[in-house]
Amino acid sequence: MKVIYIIHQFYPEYYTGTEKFVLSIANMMQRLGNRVRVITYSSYDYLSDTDISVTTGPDTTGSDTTRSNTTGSDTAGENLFVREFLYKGIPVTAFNYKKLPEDLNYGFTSPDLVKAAYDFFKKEKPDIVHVGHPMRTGELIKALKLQGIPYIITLTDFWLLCPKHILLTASENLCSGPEKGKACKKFCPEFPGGMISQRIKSAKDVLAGAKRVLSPSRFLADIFKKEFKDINIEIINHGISYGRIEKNSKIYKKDDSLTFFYGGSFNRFKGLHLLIDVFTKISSDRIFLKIYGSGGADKEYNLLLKKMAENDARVQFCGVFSEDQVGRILKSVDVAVVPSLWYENYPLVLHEALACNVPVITSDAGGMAEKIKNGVNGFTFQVGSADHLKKVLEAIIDDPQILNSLKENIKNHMIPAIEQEAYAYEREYKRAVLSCVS
Amino acid sequence: MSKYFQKIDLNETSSVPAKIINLVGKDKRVVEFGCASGYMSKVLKEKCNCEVIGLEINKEDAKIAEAFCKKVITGDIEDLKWHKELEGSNLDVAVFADILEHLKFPEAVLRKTKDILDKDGYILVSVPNIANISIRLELLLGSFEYEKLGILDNTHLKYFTLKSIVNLIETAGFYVDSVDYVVKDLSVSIIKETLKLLDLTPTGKTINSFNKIDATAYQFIVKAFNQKQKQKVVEKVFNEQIPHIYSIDRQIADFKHKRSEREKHIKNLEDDRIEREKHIKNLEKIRAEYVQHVENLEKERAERKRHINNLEKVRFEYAQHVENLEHERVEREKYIHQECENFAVEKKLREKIIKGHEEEISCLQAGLAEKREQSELLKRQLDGKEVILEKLLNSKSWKLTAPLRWLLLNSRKLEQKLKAFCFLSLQYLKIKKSGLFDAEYYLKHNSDVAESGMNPLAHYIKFGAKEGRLAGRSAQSIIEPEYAEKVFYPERGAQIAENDTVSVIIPTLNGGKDFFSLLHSFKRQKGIKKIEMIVVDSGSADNTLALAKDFGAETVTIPSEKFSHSFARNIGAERASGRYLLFVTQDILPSSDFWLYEMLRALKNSDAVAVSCAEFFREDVDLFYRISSWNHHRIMGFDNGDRILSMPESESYLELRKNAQLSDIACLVSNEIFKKYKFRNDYAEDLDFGLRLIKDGYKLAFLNSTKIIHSHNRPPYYYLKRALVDNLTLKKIFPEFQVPFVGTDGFAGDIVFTFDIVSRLVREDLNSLVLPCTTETLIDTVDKRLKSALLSSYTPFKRMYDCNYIDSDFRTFLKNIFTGLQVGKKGYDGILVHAMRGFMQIAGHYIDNSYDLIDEHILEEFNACIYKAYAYQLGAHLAYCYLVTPASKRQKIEKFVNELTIGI
Repeated sequence: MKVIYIIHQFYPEYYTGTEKFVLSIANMMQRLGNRVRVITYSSYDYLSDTDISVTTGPDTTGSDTTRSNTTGSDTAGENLFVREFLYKGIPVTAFNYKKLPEDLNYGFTSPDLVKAAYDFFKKEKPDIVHVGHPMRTGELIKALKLQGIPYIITLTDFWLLCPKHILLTASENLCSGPEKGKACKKFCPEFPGGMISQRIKSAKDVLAGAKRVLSPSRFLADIFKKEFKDINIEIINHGISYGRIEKNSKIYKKDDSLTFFYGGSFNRFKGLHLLIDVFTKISSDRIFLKIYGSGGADKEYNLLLKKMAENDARVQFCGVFSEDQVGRILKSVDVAVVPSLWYENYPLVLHEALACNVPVITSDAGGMAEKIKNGVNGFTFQVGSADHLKKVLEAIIDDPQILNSLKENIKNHMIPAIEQEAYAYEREYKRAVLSCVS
Repeated sequence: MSKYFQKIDLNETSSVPAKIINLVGKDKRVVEFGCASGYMSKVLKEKCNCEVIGLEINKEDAKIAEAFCKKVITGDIEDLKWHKELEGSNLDVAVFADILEHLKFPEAVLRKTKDILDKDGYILVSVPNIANISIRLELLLGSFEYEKLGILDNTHLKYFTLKSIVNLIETAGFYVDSVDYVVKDLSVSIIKETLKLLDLTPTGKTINSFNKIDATAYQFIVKAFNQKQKQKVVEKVFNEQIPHIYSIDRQIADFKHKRSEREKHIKNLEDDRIEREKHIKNLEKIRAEYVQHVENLEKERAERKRHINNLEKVRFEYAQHVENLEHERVEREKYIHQECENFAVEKKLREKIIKGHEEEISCLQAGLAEKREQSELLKRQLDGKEVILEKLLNSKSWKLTAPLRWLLLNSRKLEQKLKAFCFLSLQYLKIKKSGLFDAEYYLKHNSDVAESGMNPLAHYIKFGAKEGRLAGRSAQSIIEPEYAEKVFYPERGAQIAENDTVSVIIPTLNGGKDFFSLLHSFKRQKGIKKIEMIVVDSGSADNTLALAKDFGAETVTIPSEKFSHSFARNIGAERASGRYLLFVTQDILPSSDFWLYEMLRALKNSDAVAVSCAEFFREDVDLFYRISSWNHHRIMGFDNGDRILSMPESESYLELRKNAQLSDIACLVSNEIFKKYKFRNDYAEDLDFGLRLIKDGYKLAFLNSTKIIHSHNRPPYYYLKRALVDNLTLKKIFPEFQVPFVGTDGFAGDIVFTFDIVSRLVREDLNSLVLPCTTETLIDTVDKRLKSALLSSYTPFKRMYDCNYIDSDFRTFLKNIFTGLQVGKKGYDGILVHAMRGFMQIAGHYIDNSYDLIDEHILEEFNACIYKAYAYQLGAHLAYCYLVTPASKRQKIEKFVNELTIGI
């Protein structure tokens, strides 16, 4: 089978949840003997990275290509650049614009991309296309429809419903969906009404045209079903690579020292500032906080975080971690915290922690509350409430032994393996291809 | 002392003498009328360096004054003696300090004074002020009293007001230059009090008038110039200034003229400006209108452009659509044409077949005729036999021995029945005693038993246990908490059958991290009535057994030296109570919650008695495994669709191998069937089992529609051993397997040579590839090296380079082969390079299917794969060598083979 993956951004620039998912699945498919390719938007800032090899275009022979740092690129159209390269054995096609369209991050059409999209799919002739994320790639999806190529789509955030991705209103409260645009008008008046209703219509088209719509969490599926009642959404949970997992089998006694763990990017809506704020206010010399991850674009927020923690030696910023270190890191901590302020859909770090037998504290919103039940395999606190989080932390610190029963419960449930997820997706691909032929 | 003596302080501002002396100035020639004792003259002389001529009526005073004056003329001023003496003296200043009021005719004196003064000279006169407020008030009260000193000095003859003294002096021909005064006034309250005495209340105006100088002054000091002089000065000044004045007048006239002109001009400009402003306003209006117009045109233009864009898009879409339709049409035409051709071909083929069949039929008919004849013969024979038999059955001896025969035939049956009865009753007693059987529960959950009225325990012992019915509440609950991870979306319509019980048998040795996931995934399997797990462990040192127990699996431990693949599985099968047995290895993972259900359904829906399935690789699968697996499936014909396998017509190795396919990685078989055959052999027990089944007419199934997650990522040493054992066993099981000839002489040399080639390929050729490169380039590079190897000569072995693609066991093994090797110089005549070439062709095919371009990542895997392939080929050919070498010459190779066969 030839499988093409459509996504809005990719390695080596970005490596958040959606990108990881597409890379893992593409990798698995390649290992099974399928041909794969990823097509994505990119801003080409990474070109000085020597890890990847850059090719100059479709007709390459061994002598024409050079190792990284090539500056050659094809211009496929007046405003469009297209490059091809390999990332860890996966072929990637990346496109970029000379002049960025205004609606790059919330629109569905892009006149510059029309011809290139058509040519791309005509040349590649995939059997099935898997849309990892429809942002910036609406034109590609349209080209699929025109050429009768079947596609399936995995929803990983709320972008199809909400131009902000995360369903947070202008006043940073959780929103439950656009309600055909009524909610948007009320809570986020900065978006013109016409644009919202157009978006919703386009989103419906994208979903209706897919052979299958998939979601990794029931929660996200429910939010979408509320808005689009006729669309069927099936659940396939994300799998994790068990090769990297190491079980944390510590047993806790009273007065044991505790290390809390946060892993993820530094963005406001991930709520790290809430955690640091609460942690620094608890005075106990046997607790520590290890923060893994790095700052996003918001430098001010980064500085704020560093400032909040500067006088507390128990808080450590440990930098970024690679996928291979996950097991080792989780083995060395006691409790993972996911204090996100939005409907986090399928936080990878939450599942990796559970797979390593580490209890998790999360906000009681979205996909997080689906997975963590208070007192059973972790604790939940009211989303955004510092007081509530503080109470939870203090309860654990007072008596670490309560973690032991949590760990027993966690042992009884298994997070799916990446191979199982890939198996389910392969079946979806086959089913979609067959339904086309008949 | 004169009564008029005063001490004079020149700084005293209210002192008249001081004022007068200051007015005199310095270095002047002064005449002091009435100098008294010369107290003023003294100061004038000493402090102001003046020359003073004094005039005094009093002789004593005059005498005193002589000390300070140049000369003193005694006598009455009004006698004018002085006039004769001083006329034409051109004196600078004449001082009349409080003198004039003492004279009868002050005006006359003043007139005469003119003659003694210089033309620029001046007089200084001080007189008391009769109109002083105090005097006025006294007078109002009717009082006018002379005093010794003061304004009403009893020697005063004349009284002056400001007006009158100025008048007097001017009349005398002088010009008054300045008037100074010394104040002595009264407070307002005293004024008011005094007036009150007369019943007068003063108004503000009244008080103000009393504050004027003419009322408040006590004395006046007047400086006056010689009038003529003043006139002369004035005239001089006038004459000097006249031209200036005239010119200034002219200038003023000019300026006035210019000013009026300019004012006119300004007015004109103003008018002009107003005009222009009006004009500008008009132009502004027009401009605004134009701007508006332009805006409208712009809007219209944008609209039209958008419209054009839309039309373009539509047009483009239509063009695409048309192209697609065209394309489709062409395709369909091709297809139709192809189909016609195919039909024609097939028609011919079928005609041929029909012809063949016709011929066959005629042959068969001929055969049939023959057989008919034969059967006629046999029938006649049979008739004969029947007659004999009839005779026998009716004989006496037969009838007599009837009971004996019955006993013989049925004794076995009776024995069995007796045994079973004893066994069952024993069981019954045992179970009843133990109290583990819950009769109520059993009857409640099995209505058919309740209906039949049979004793529940008897039923259970006889039928229920075998059918997997539960004896009580001890079964594990399958209810999952609602937050459990949904591993996959459920298949619809999974129907649980009452007798779908499966026993899962897993031989284990250090199951490791993945064992937990395996046990868990089995726990979650849906659609099966009951799953029982049986773990057969041969000495795990990790937590394998503990985990198994945690998950409620039954565990059996066997000593590690007793382990063999068949023995362990058979032991497990003995404990199994399920209707079906599932044999798996410890490194598998069910691919979904319905995997087992799908396997079972396939088994039940087909007439196969055993089923296995294809593999779905793990994330860390190595490239060698992928290629081998792909190739294996391709050759076996298992790469597509589900297969039913049965005994082939041709008993060639390949056909048998294909159809005997059963894999112990995951193999589901009916318990009943298994019991009859069981596993045997140390190795490839699954293939052997499959072969025996199909030879006895059973069918097997191999599934691609469902897969088990399994793959290997092993070092070269593993593949070496694997290949050796695989090929040794294959020969055992499939005697028809053609073993290629590999001679012992020169085999070692071949091994070394090929290793060298492989190392060079990886270290030199592939390392110097410019990446990324096409798959073609990669394959060509490999082929080039291997081809050239075929034309090279053996060279003495130098050394084995370190590389991280070889594990230490493999390195040790190779070193043992390499040491002490003598190689002569001759052309390559070995087999391993050919074998590598063969593999590389397959590898090339696989890589071409999966990749377009090769980067460092893929190349890394490829390098590792090459070494593994080498190890595999080495193992396989070692097996061949062993198999074709007669036992007497095997010693050397036996050593290696024995070492390698341990532990597989």
